Amino acid sequence: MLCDLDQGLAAARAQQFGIPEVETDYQRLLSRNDIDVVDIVTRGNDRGENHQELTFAALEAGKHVLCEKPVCHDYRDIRRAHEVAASKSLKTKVGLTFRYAPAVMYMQSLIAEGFIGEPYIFNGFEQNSQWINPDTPMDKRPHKERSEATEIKGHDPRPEAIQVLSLEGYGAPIIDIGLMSVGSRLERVVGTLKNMLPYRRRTNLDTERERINVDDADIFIGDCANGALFSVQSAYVTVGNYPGIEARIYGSKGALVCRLVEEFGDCQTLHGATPDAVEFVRMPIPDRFFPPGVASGEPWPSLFYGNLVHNFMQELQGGDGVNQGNFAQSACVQEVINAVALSHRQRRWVDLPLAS
Amino acid sequence: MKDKLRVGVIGAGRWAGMAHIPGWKRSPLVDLVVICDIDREKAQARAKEFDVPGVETDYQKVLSSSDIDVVDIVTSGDNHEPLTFAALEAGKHVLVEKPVCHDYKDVWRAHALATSKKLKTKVGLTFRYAPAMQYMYDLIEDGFVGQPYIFNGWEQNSQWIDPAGPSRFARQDTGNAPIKVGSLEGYGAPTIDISLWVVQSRLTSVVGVLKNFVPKRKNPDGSWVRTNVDDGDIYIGEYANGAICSMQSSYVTVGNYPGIEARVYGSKGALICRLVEEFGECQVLKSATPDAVEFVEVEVPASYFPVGYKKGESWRSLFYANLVHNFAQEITDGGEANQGNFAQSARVQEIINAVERSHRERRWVDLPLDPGVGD
Repeated sequence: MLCDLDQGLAAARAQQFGIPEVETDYQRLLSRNDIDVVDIVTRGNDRGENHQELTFAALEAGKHVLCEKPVCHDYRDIRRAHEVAASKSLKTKVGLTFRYAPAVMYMQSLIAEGFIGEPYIFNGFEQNSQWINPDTPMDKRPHKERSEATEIKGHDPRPEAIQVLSLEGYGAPIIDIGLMSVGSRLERVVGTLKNMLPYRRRTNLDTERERINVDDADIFIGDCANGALFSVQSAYVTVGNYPGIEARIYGSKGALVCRLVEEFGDCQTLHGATPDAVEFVRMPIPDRFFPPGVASGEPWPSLFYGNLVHNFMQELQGGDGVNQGNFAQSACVQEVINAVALSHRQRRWVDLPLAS
Repeated sequence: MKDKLRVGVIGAGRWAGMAHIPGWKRSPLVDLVVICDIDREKAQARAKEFDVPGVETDYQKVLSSSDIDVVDIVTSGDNHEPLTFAALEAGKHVLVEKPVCHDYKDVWRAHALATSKKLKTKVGLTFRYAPAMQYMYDLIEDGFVGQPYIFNGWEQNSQWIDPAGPSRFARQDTGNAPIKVGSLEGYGAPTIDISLWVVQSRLTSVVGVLKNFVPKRKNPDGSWVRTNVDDGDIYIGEYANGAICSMQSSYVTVGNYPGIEARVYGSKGALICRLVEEFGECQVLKSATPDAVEFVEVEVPASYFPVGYKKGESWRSLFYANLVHNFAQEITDGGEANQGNFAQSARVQEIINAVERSHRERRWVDLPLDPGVGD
């Protein structure tokens, strides 16, 4: 079943993908007994604020839930959602797409086997040049009329009032990969958020630029509980191709560098080195890390998401406790984002877990 | 045609033999006249190896000689500061390996002394002299990246990743003393230099963390000692011009020598320079623009390479040949130009001092540390 407020859109997609049923009222979808899993991928007015409402409704209705990020803006709400799910033996998954890239899954498998030894340093990047041009509308939706509801605010020009944007939209998946790679939680973080382009076009309806104070680029560093060092940079004003992930992990026995960047015909590469062989060499990704039905040269959005969805289906059928990239993990990631934002606003190191 | 500069090298160890001495021999502007080392045999061996006429064991004689214009201090150990001041007092131009002094205020004093005597100085901030780095700087000067947004720097390799690894010298047992600066100063300095140079702005604030990943190390006599030294560190910084940076240095991160990477992202383009021995190369420069977002290799023009360069030359001699020749040119030309000098080194050392303070006090540290010192 496919549900959307826009009947025409839902019908067109259903036809495109051969989906039997179409609906415009999500409540009716949730009340169906013959639906096991709900996938929430709505846009909403306020950067997915309806994700929270829809998520809790779906869990209350007893459905397993896949939800695009952000599940909720406050990590405490995501944790609550996780607890609701766990109490009803439901599994969840968040659209932290990039952990499901075959190269990343292979990287994690190597780490689990001891390739890097004791983790020392993680460096993560998620960056490209999507909004390097100040005339590219910050809100890319094709608006036909002006509306008060806008997901891009940034009205307060003070540096400490900067609206978190890149850190949440771009940073979340690489923070997720970083935590997974070092195998430890962060104990404290400190960071800086920058509004590199202070004047931008807000929407396609705007001809003039206006002052918009949003986080175009940010860097934070942190200490992990297991002694590792952590850094993450996210930006949409840094020249580079999509998606723009780079994950590097250095340890006592080896190092791995994973790039998810469209370059020279590849969308993903993994390179590794050891103290005895210090030049980083390409490590081909074994077939078992690719989803069923993968086509050669398949674009990364469908390739990575194919793995995500396949992984969720395996977990649902597995019947054991395994459930990676779920709401609990998303809450950890969102907590880090909340902590870095607080660190920026108060210009100090912030300890984790955050005080409630 | 001007007379050649007459150079004396103090310190005949490995780095002198790999980088400094070959560099001087190679520059057409220079006559290398004496090698000085407290170990006479070492000095003699080097002099023979490189066909240098003079050998000395007493550095005072080198400094007091009126037949020396430039002194190159490349001793190991902690004597750079007194040797530097002595050489300047004696009226010599000075090249000295890092660190010049541990406290950046002393480096400014040395700079002030040099300028008062119209002497030029240069510090062994090797990596800015790599042909690829010099070209990257010129591209940035020409506007390739536009307004700089982000600088990311690394200086790292796995030189001391093995706690039991062979060591030429006995490490001090630090006991329970607080972590001592190590990698940040020994490895970080040249890339911190590059981070200021290519972004063309000073840092206004830094926050960082030092880590001791290898808590104990084995000494040549087989004993294990506690070595609470910074073997990996990261800091982030903010520039006066609005850009931000990250800087990481470590000698326990798997990777080849020398291990520099410098990335500059700006409003109009991005450049990435890697100085890492890989696949037969020791340096590579890549670029991208918003209209061509895949990073492609940029060929470094021949004019950026020193006399006698042959493809496949080791970075140890290649980069230093440029450094030394650049110094000789600056002195010979007699103009204002004097890149990578004590003033620059003081700015770099100030950042190192600030990051150390930031770590110990667990907070952002604003720069300048002491308004009124330096420029």
